[in-house]
Amino acid sequence: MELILMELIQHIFSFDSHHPLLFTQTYFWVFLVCVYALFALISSSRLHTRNVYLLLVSWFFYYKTSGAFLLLLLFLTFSNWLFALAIHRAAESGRRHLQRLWLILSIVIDLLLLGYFKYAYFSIDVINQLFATHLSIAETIILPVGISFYTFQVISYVSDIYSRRIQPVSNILDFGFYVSFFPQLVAGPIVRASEFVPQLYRPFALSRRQFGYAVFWILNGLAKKVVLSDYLATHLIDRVFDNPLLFSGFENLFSLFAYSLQVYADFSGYTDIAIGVALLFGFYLPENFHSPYKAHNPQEFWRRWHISLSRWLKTYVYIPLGGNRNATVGTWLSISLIALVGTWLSRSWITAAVILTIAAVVAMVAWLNPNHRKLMYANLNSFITMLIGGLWHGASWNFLIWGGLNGIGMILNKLWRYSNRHLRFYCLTAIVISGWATEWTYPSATLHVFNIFGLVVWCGYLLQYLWQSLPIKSNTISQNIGSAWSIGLTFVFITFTRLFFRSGSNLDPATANQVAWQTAKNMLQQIGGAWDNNIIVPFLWEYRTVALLFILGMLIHWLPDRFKRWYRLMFARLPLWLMAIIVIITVVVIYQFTSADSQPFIYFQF
Amino acid sequence: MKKHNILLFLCLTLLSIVMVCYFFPSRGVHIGASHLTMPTVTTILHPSRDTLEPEIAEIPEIQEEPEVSKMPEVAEVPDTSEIAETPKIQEIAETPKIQEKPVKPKVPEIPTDAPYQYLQRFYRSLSCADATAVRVVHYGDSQIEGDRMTINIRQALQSRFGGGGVGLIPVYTTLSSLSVSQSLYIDSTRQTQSSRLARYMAFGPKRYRRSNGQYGPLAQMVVMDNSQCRHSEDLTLLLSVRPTAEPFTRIRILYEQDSIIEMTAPTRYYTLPLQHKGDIYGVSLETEKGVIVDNIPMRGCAGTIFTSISPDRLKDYFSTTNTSLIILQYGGNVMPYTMGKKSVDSYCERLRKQIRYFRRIAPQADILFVGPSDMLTRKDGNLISYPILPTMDKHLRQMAHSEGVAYYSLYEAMGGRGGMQRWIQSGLAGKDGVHFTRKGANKAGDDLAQWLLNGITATTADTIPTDTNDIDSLIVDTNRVDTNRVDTNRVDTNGVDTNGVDTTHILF
Repeated sequence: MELILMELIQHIFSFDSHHPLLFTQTYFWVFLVCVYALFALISSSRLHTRNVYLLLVSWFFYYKTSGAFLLLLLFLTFSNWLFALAIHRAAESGRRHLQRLWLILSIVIDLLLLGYFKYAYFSIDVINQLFATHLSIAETIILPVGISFYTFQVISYVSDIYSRRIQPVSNILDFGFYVSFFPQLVAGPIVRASEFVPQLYRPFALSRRQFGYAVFWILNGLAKKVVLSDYLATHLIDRVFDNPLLFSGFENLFSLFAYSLQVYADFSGYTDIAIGVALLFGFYLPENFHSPYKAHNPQEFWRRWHISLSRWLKTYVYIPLGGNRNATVGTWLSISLIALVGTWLSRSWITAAVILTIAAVVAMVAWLNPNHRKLMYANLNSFITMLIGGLWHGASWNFLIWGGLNGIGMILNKLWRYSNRHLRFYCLTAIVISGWATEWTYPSATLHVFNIFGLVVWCGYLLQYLWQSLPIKSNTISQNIGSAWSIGLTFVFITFTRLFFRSGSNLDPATANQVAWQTAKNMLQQIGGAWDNNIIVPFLWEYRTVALLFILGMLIHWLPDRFKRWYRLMFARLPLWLMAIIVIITVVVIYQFTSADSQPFIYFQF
Repeated sequence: MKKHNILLFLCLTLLSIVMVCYFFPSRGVHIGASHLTMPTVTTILHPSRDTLEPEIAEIPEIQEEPEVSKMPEVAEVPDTSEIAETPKIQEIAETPKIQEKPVKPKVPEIPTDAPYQYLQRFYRSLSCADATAVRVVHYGDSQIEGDRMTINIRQALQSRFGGGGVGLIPVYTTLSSLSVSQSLYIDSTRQTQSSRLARYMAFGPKRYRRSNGQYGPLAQMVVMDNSQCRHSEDLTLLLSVRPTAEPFTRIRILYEQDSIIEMTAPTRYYTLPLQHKGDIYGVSLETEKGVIVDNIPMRGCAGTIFTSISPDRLKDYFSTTNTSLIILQYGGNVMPYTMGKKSVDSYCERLRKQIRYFRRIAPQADILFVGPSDMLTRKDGNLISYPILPTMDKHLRQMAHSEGVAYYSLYEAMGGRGGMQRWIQSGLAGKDGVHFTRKGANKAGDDLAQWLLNGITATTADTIPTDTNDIDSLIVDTNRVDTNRVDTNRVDTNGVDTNGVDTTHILF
């Protein structure tokens, strides 16, 4: 008994790298109840005590999640708090240069730390190539959990102080609480100081309905994470992505779409839980995902997906680059940096030459066309922002391509919307014909996939083109069909960009390129070549649970917002006893998915 | 809402969930086809205590074999691909839980030098590789697909004994290979789907079967007729050997009779025109001398289909190509359906028939059986190795020994129980807990190739021949061993072999 007790105590307080603390563990919920028990004892008027208590709890949570990396969090908190104060004082005394110096210094330190963990392998590769050294990383560098989120959060704080959007937080403990608040520490959302810091000085207040919403978000997040994300990943997606060539084209395609849902369910599920848990403590975190697969175009998608990061990139990258007004030195410096990274990854100066030539042509055309200059610069800046967003995920080709594809998608969509319908039709027709002609001459599975997508788009647009030529006024039905068509195309486009997305952030570029590139190549090869209609029905039957979950997940996702708001409200209004019963039943159901036995491998394609 | 009310809600809800776990039957509840389970309170308090992996929970390795009771006999363990199409999958999956009872192993330990004894003819034939071609045929399941593992064996043998090419390949495949790129063109159109070809396979879905059982050595073939081409010259196979393999000097086309095209110089590329009518069993890219290694993967196959292949073409192939070693790498695909000792024995017996079949049709060849790797399955939310795997490995080894066949335990090469967990953590295996990654396949293949080469070292008393002249010394030894080999063919059913050669081994 004593042994078990000792083990239990050790389990509670020690860090186990094999079992980092996650929202999906029972430990977390016991931890939460214990934390809440003490939280409930603290008087609502004693705000400072409450904040210090929650700060200590958050640090303990981070220690359980990432162990000694807590020191990194403490360092970033302390250094950025000091830098923010220094910037504020420099601004008050009118020393603009000093203010800028502190800002640059703080951002450089933050980015160097982030870069060390994210780009260590890439950097070692660059150093070895440049100086003919043989440096290597003795042990695998583990990426501290949530490092990007809290780094971005402190950068946004210091930048906001610099641009005088907010006043600095005088108490370091309050600032530490803002940076480390445990529900959003691991996976965001990235909270701005202007949104969160005022809440530190407000007493606890939570209405009965808000409590209901908190419980709803927690259950919703758990179901998304465990049922949709983990189950789909374990029982199908991981298998296919690990060995695409073992599966047929349809299986690969299905898994790719399921992966799209899995990524969403995983990330948004975690954020939903974070929002719900924070709400229980009386703190409001911003919405991070707003049904992203309901987007009508890539641009709208990024306004709905990981909203806090998109907003961060817009505020601290896109706008400083010149936004939709002009191109700045930052724009050209960023292009040069991307050209350098591209050159390094490809080991060829041709890459730099191509990137710089394209940039020069854009600059030339923009200079010659004052009427379209703003539009061109806006597109260039948004493309660079997407590339930087890609490189943030990791310094490898796959993420650069992923960012580039999203950037191209956004630009093409903008151009599409601003061009007249005849031009659209002729361009699309020309692209489709040339695509099929190329495939006829040089058969390729990738080209085949592209051509099928092009043909589908062309057929859809042909109907729209003909419909618009008829003397019939647009009605609700036709608008809804058009809307569904746009949503479908955007979903398909975003899903295919994810071919390049599924690989670790902190990888040796060679490994990342190898893993991600081979996966993408092999999946496309199967989707575009190894197609056999005979296996579709047997596959769907054998994987019926996975297929039904995918369909159900997508259907729930596409439910109208109004209906979703209605059932959230209905849940929030339930009597507490009924709510508790629903919670228990949901937990039992969710557990069945975590404990489900592995489905044996079933091969359909030969 | 007040904080203490929220706390009360949280406490009561959590307590209720714990109570549900406490009172929930430990074996779960069956509702229709569903089986509901809940964690025990111990699991909640200390999740790792219930994990079966020894690395995590430090449970000692299971030494004893489980004895099966109340388990229906699984007479046939079909290919999993076939299982998927039949209701048997459910029947097998829903067999009652095995009541495991430790029993003492009945079969005496196999001498550690046994596997290399069974490869002596192969080792001896290697000594002639400078004068003639020596063929190794590597049959296996998806673990060797795309030339994985085989490529390492080929590279190791060819770098030491010469030889080139990638061996036998099918005329049409949707799979990509690490060693060769191939495209079949009909009427100048690259075939990206199999719809225009009449393909037959001895494994996989039953719709691909051929009534006369003529599948050839690849266990798959295509039948061409003139109607499939508009012009007589329009059936070509574009071949390109990748830098991972050596160039070839000869192409052997397996029609009903072999047709050989000699190259003027070693090459990597060739556009091969094919006949338009009749059976095509494959194309072999090879050299006249040295070692040629075929990679013949059969996805989803358990290795029990060879007896369904008509022996004529097989026998012809093995003899004309001087096949000296046949590697059979199977077992993984039966693991999900193998519930206990009886089904293990049943599977071993079926494999025994296959081995005897090979003995009849390729009497000149040695046989090496490569057992299944460690594999994971999910049980109560935890990923664990298949509990029956050690038993399967042991029984396969005993069966191999009793048939005079060398056995290589991939399971042990991975480190035994929990090996797959470690391989996943090291990036050597995929998250599915079954297949190797490219890196892992390289390691497994290199280990296997090294093990094969170690056999030469062992039998030549620590002398590693650096060139083929040195192998003369090996012949002396292998001659002696070959005498023993006759005896080992007659190993009694207890597996006792008294003719061991003094060898040292890394594995087994």
